[in-house]
Amino acid sequence: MHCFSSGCQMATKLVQWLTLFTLFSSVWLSLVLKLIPVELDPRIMDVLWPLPIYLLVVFGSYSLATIGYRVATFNDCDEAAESLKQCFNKSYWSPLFSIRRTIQS
Amino acid sequence: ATGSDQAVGYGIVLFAGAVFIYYSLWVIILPFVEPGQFLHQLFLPRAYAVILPLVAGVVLLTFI
Repeated sequence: MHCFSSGCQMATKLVQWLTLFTLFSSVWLSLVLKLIPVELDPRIMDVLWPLPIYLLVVFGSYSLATIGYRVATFNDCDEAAESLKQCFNKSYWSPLFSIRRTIQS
Repeated sequence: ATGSDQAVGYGIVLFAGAVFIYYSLWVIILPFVEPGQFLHQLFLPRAYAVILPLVAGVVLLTFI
C-alpha cells in the first residue's frame, strides 16, 4: 500500500517489481563497487558480480520450461475436434466446405 | 497434446532444466569447489559465464 494524504492505494505489479529491482541493484552495486567497508570472502565476491546475469538466465530458463510444459499438457480435445468436423460435413453448407477442401489441395 | 507435440514440449522442459542446472553449478557452486577438483574440467573458464549469456541475449534481440 502506498498512501498519499488523499488516501491509500494498492501498489501495482510494476511498482512492486521496480521497488524490488531498485532494492536489489542498490545492494548489489554497493557491495560490488565496495562502497560498504565490509570484508567479504573473495569466493562470495566471485558469486556476487555475475548475479544479475545469473538471475536473468534463471528467469529465461523458467519461462522456457513453462512454455514447454504448457505445450506438452495442452488440452487438445481430439474428440471435440472430430465431432466438430462431422458437424461441418453434415451441415447445409457441406458442399461449400468440400469445394474449399479441393481448392486447398 | 499428443505424440510429437508432447515430445517437443517435454524436450524443451528438459533443455531448460539442463541449462538451469549447468549454469547454477557454474556460477554458484564452482567458486566454492577447490581448484584441483575434477568438476572444474567440465566447465569453461568463468569469464564465459558472463560472455555467453550476453552474446546469446544480443543475438536474440537482433531477431526481434
